[in-house]
Amino acid sequence: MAKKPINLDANATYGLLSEVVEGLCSENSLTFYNPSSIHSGGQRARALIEETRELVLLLFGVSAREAIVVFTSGATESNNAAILAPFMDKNFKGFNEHSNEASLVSSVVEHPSVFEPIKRLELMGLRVSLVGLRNGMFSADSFIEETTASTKVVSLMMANNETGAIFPVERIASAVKERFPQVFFHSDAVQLAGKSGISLSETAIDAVSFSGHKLGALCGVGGLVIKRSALLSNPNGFRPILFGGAQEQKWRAGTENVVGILSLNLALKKILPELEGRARAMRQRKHLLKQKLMTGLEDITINYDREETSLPNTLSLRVEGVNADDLVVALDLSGVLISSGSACSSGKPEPSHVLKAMGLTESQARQSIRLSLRAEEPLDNINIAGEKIINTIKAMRTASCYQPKNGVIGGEVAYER
Amino acid sequence: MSVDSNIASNRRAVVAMSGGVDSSVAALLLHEAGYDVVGVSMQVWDYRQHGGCDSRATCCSPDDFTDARKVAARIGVPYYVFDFEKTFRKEVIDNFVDTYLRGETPNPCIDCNSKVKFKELRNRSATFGCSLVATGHFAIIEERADGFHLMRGVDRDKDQSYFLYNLTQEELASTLFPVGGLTKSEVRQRAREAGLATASKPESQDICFVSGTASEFVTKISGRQLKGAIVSSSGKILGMHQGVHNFTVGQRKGLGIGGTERPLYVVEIDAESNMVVVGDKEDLKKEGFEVKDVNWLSPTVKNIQDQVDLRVIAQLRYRHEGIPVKLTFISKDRVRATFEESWSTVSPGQAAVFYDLENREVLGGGRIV
Repeated sequence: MAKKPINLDANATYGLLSEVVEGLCSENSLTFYNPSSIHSGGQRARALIEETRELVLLLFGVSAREAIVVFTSGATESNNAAILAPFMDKNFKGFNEHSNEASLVSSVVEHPSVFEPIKRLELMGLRVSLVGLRNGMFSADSFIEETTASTKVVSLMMANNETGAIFPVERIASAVKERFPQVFFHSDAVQLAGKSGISLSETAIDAVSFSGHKLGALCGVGGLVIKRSALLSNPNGFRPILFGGAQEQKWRAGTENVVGILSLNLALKKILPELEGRARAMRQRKHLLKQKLMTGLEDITINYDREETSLPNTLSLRVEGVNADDLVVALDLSGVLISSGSACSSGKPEPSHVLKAMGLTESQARQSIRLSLRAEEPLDNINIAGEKIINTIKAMRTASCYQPKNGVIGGEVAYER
Repeated sequence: MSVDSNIASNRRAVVAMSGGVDSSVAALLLHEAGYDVVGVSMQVWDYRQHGGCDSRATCCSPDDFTDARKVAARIGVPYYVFDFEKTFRKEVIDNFVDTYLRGETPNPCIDCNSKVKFKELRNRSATFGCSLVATGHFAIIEERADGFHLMRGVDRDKDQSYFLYNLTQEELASTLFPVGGLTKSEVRQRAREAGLATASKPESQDICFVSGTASEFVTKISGRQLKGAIVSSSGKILGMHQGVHNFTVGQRKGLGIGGTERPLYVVEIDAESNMVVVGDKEDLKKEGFEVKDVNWLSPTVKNIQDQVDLRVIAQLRYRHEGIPVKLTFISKDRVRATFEESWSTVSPGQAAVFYDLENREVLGGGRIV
């Protein structure tokens, strides 16, 4: 693979911003010291961490008076911590007759790093309700219906990684907390952060998770932003799940990932001043690609097409007559990186639970691809990638004798089905 | 720009990589020969769910994919895992279990080759512009004026042409067996020289998805446990068995009958009445056997219906040296084989593969009735 491939898979990992690469190379002398050390090297590392905390607060539109930032190894740890935290309280007696009222509410489209810890708690005896979509959206009512006075946690993602749908989390959180103030309301903000302005201040959302590598920083760093009101004073509030050293004010033990935090610092300094411009750039690229594909191909459908509530960079498409996993391979061989459904590490592709939750059949889900774009992607690349996608799909359809729905392909009348 | 010019390439070959040394070297040799190699592992069986993946050597387990991935990275070729579980279950596993329960001896590798590797893998590869499929089989395809000839691999001990009789001319035309001209030790040597992680990996078992015995597997998958009688050829009950699928015609060990003067052999399996018939070695002796679903692969055999008393070497099991037989044609895809000088044990369900009299070229083959 001689030429650099075109990355249309930014939601999987954004790729290091060039400012991050440069900064890491020039500033990494900072990073060799343990931030817990008393000496000046440790103090510099500590200062870097504290500065980065402030940048994270800016990203989420909330003040240090109102919220704290806890750095973690990434969004998986953050999500696990948020889901498990209320069950780590010293007064929680476990899932026995005294506490069998305890419950948790979440949604059917969450990332595995939210869904799997929930499943684990369910196996241990927790009552779990997963709210479904209505017309592709979540309503506050359906969350209120599932929540009770003994619900400890409600978790709903801000935007979906596969379809790009943005959910009205702020409204739902406020409706839920108004009726059930005891709830710890968590939101996985991994995909929305950096693609849209977020303001947690004055909202009912108690905590959000974020990930460094989705923002152009390194993998292995992320965190939680937690409202101070959702800390110790709240019986369902946040509790640490890792125990050890007194780092992160005891909220998360373990020596801080200083290199990771430095990369986050650099990425945030780059993207914070230009959030709006970046979102515009993403949207422009998405429109260009969408336009190209819709005019160049028959029988393709956008899985989630509500522009006003969708991520500026994400396009989920259903391509009739093509197995999405084969399309990923074919495009990879032509130098275009995309994904089908969500990433599959085991080699055993299961149709996306998100697309099925949106009402797609299993075979429709297996025909779906996700294109997710970077703000920095040159427009030329978008054009080239568009051409390649069109040509590849046409070739694959030809190879599998696909009959287009309207009976016409390439200007020739095709056989009837 | 033509529709498919960006992906089609007649030098692009998919190499089915099991994670073993043979397919690793197959990928290496094709890459060195200038082919545009795409490594593919086939996910055929969920070892975590179904078992069959304890510490014993199998192939196509997650660990094997890690090896294949390492080899592809080392060579510098793209690598993907494709899911073939549905097809494998339908075409290979179900057939394996059914055949055993019918009292016959299945050969899953042949089904896997003809239905999975050289059919579904080929079809999927074609959709993304790979016209060629290569594997690490020890066999040779010779292209001559009259078509493609499938020959035994150079390493007679490792030759796998027996498992490939069910291919067609069309399939041979777009298939590559890069290691067929090497011996096993040469293959390992090439792997070592290239620094491939699989260079000294042990051989996989004959049946990749079975870790214990085949009959344990059949019992587990079918959920059937069918006791029955073991009888002598005169009808005397000598003992009980736990299911006819535990037996193969010709089998001597594991009958669970002791204290007989002479060794006893399974001479017949009657699945319908759930009986296993045992007898002396002489009772196994037959004049010949019938073969159904015969595929005539070689362009050497023309006008099959007109052939009279075609003399060939029949190989009746994977590790069988072959035995001369005379073929009489019952129909185009059914023949009667008569032993010539000597006879051999015949297991219904097993493949009989016919080679030329030099015992080098696969002419065709089918299933023993």
